[in-house]
Amino acid sequence: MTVNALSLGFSLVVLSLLVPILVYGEGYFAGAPGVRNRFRLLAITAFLASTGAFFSSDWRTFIVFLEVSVLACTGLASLKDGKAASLFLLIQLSGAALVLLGAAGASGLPNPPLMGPLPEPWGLWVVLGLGVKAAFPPFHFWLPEVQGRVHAPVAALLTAVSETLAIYGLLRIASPGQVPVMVATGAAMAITGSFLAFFCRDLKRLLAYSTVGQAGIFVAVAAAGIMSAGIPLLFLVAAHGQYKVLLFLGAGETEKVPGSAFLQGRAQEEASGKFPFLALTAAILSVAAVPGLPSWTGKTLAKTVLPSFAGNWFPVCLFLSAVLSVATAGRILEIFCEPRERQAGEPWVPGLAGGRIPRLCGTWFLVAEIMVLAFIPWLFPAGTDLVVPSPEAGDWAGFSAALALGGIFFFLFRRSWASSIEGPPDLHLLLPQFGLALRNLVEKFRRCHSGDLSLYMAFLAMALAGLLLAL
Amino acid sequence: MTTLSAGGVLFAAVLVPLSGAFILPLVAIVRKKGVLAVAAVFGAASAAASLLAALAGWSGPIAAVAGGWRFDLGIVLAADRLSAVFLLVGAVGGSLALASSMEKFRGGPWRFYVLFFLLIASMNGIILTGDIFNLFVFYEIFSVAAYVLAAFSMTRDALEAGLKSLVFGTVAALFLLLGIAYLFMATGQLNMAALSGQMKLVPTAALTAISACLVLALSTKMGAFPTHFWLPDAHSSAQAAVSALLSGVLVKVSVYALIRICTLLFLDVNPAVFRVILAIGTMSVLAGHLMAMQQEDIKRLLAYSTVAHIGCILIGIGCAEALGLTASLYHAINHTILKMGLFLAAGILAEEAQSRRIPEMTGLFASRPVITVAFTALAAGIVGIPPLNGFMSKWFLLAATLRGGHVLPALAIAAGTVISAGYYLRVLKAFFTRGGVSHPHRETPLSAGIVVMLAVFCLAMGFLPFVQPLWEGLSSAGAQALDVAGYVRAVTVP
Repeated sequence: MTVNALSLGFSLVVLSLLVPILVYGEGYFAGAPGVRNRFRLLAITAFLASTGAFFSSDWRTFIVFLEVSVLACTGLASLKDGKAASLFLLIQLSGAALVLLGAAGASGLPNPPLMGPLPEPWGLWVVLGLGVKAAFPPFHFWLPEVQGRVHAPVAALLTAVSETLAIYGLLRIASPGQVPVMVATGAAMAITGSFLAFFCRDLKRLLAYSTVGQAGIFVAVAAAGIMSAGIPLLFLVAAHGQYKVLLFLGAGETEKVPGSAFLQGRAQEEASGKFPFLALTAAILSVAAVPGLPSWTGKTLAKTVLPSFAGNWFPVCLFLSAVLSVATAGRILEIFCEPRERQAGEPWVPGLAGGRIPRLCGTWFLVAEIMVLAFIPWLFPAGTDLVVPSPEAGDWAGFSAALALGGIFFFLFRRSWASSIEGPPDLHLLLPQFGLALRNLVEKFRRCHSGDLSLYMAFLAMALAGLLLAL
Repeated sequence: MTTLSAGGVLFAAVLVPLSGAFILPLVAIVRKKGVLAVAAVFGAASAAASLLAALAGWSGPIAAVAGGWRFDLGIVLAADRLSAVFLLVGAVGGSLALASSMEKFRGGPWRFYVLFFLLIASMNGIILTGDIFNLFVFYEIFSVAAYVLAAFSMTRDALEAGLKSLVFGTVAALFLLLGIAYLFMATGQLNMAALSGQMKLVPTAALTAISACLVLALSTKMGAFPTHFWLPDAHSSAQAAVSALLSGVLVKVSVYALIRICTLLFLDVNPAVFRVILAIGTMSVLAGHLMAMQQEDIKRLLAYSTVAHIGCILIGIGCAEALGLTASLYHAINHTILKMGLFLAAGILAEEAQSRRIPEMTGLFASRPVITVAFTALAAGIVGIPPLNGFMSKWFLLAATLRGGHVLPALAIAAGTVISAGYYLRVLKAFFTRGGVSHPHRETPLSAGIVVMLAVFCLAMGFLPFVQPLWEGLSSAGAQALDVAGYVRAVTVP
């Protein structure tokens, strides 16, 4: 086992996410003490195992701890849905088998490398295995499937532990030979994940796809390797973990026992289950990467470490991802606020009626963490390793453009989607939607509905202004 | 060659259980109730004799010749670290199976114990013999006892399984005898140490025929693909304790024989044999796992899983280097622990559910929580989930195969891990699903205790590579298997 700043940083990030999840879980499972005890035990085991993985000095020890955390996460997933747990375990084991192939192959070399880049082809096996674990496309299908089916705090924990571990592994393994593969895959993930997230009607599935999108950025940044990408990646993972966990906990507030397909309107239905509006705002602003917030800082730091060949086109991917993230943020807001008829006597998650204080504590804890991370730049004096940028005019211009285009995308597609297709998004179902949306748009203009028209015009004007500023 | 006392220990490992097999019928005639006590005494004595022989073999290659004959004329027993590992596996596995069967039969039929002790004696004989024809003789005693034990429950399935293993076993024995006959014709020798020195003189065509006969015979005996058909029937139809013995311990004897014969006879003169073993291993891994996935019967599932794990062991042997053999030995030990535990647990749970069909074994967690949890741990171990023993041995198997540039076998092992997770999850899902009816049955606390103990072993053995003296010892056993000169010196130098 070796202790260094990076391991310690990642471990602290996971701990910072675990504490509010545990606190929230106390309230969430208040009505089911047996489940709550198992949740506590397995969550702490997952954290300890992840810490072991972060401090591992060689790949074999890393795999051992990684898989122990997978077992704990499988146990957590099985608290609600055995099928989701089985799927999670099988996918994780598939990834582990590939990692094992690479690491075991490299261990047979004369001077086997420790916890660092491995020579080819072994390194590529490990990247592929960790990619399966981090939901690289086309292996991304499992993440929404699992996170959509488990309890909300468990979904949050899967993001906090499982995803972070895979990204940490990628950071450690990255070597110059793998940079093109990782950056290209990261770009594909960033666009695909954000795009598919927008078309989800299930909040947890939406958040899971959004995680795939964000993980794409992490993967591309991790390609820069441990020497360059450590701090930006730590920042990105921490920021993403905070707002994603916050949103998953929000999903918990809107969840009901028999499935979680349509979650709208919970916030308006019961005062006791109301998700704090301020927390929701903080999370959504983070999703949209408002300049100055940690998620923006992480992305800005990320641009500085991208390899030179990606310097021109990857920021365009980041911009597209930001546009889609804005649209997704709108979708999240819509899901939280859209009223939904609740059936009389419809059961909620056991304990949701009680345990309100721990749930609020968990939520506010995360909001406080986002604030702390936002103010970290002021905690580090000039001359230290952590040089955190401040937003400039160009950043605000870029954000305005993303906001405008994202807004247009949101209003353009959400209605056509909501009116026609039920269920999870799929590319072959989405393609006809574009035609439908365009027809809707033409129809709207033809009918000249004043409200809609003015809205579109306003967004178009914002987009043009933002683009001009950005240029 | 060594002193009489060391030689005596080697002979005792064969003679003690053999005397048990002959004395027990007499005890049954005189006093039937005494059979259980006498069987227990002989069981303990046999295990002690095996362990002493293992200890003697561990301290260096030793050999003993009966009656003071020259080594190439007399009955030679030899032991080194490789033999010691398999003697240890046999002693521990045999004792646990005996204890479990005693609880099941409650003293029961003396014929069972006669067969059991014949099996143990012949098993030790195969492991210790230095003469290839004696190996054949011991194999025949071993096989006959195994056929009858497989059919011992006298059900229709068991009789069919016994007959099937008899037919396949006889064909395998024929090939073994054919190979030995060719060897004798080509060299005029039967002592394996003497044969080792003369293999260079054997013409290539004859060498190919000999290799083919011996590898085919031994792979059939161990149930490797594509001659595995007898194994799932035999291992699934027998009593739980016998299944555990057959699947956990007895197939390893053929693994030992394969390692010993191939390293002594073919390592230098026909290395292609190891590539064939590698190919058989790869196919066994894939076929075993894929067929296990199709099974509805829990014991057949476990039996097909044995085919796959024999494949893993063969892959390690096929690497023909010290790390591969060490990994094979480690996996063989782990497989013994895991498969014995799984078969015993499956027996207990099948009795509880009154069915061996997986869909009918629902709700067992509620009625047998300890056994189902132990089964889960053992299943996780055999799948290869860290930090359990199955993961560690697969790690070394992968390291050895990839170091040798054998990517396909490595991929097969990795894919097998995922496939096996799939079919074991199906079993566990049934166990942990609510529902199902508990049927009245006799409690078997000893067997349950053995299952729990094996589950604990499964965790403990995962840490073996981190205990330097133990790992170095096992590595030296792997290395000694390739030290042909050392073995030959121990047998031939007076």
